[in-house]
Amino acid sequence: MSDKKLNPSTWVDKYSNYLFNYAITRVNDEVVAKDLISETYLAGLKSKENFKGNSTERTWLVLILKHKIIDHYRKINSKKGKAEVKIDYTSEDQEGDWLEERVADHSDQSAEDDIENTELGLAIENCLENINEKQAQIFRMKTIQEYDTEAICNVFDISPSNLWMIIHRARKSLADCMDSSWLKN
Amino acid sequence: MSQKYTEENIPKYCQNIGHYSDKLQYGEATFWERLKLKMHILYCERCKKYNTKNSLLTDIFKKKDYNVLDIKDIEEIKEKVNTDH
Repeated sequence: MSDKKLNPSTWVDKYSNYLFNYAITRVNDEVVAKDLISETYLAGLKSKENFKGNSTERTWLVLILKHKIIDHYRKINSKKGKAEVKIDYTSEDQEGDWLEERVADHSDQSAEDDIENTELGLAIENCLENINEKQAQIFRMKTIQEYDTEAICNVFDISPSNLWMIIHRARKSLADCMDSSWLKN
Repeated sequence: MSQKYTEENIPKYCQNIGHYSDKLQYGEATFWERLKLKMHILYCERCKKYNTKNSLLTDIFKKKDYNVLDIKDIEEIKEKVNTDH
């Protein structure tokens, strides 16, 4: 699990794939999702004083991303954005300046846990946090991006037997960690 | 008395079977590796269970509901954050 302290230098490597899975299912556009992730990190850096350690670092970043997604829909002025803004902002004059003043961390993580259990990408990324980031990246490249074994070995300067060891560790971790509802016969 | 195996002390042969099972998921297991796997899981419950879960994992990855960023994308995000911060 994440420490309840901020460590911005590790954010991009550690949380980008999690945030990407969160964003892509909500905006359906890879470029926009990537931009929103960058904006999330920048906003996080800007408002890091507001982090009190009540939630995990990742939960806090997801909260910022959530607001960035709402802002995105506001900007494109879609019906979806208008609907979400009405729910999220408490009054008219607070619109747009929520971030620096209002992005405190909440101790209630149950909502995020529920999302993790229903969204496959988030469930996988959550389980991959149990292995180190380099191993997780190798697993993603081999399994989802379908890179050749040789290409991955060259990029990471490892032997094929090391690669299979890493793949085994990742798959074992996922097999043990994924909720049983995902792994039904 | 039967021995209780943990991840640290599982027999070398079962460790190899685990790797054959992994390679099978990527279509990279050789004929002999596939054969050894099939024979072994006839009597080894532990390996049979791992192989079943492994196949189920492969099935869920095929659903395409899981998205990943390329290393290039990660580097671009880093650059953008460093430049704009």
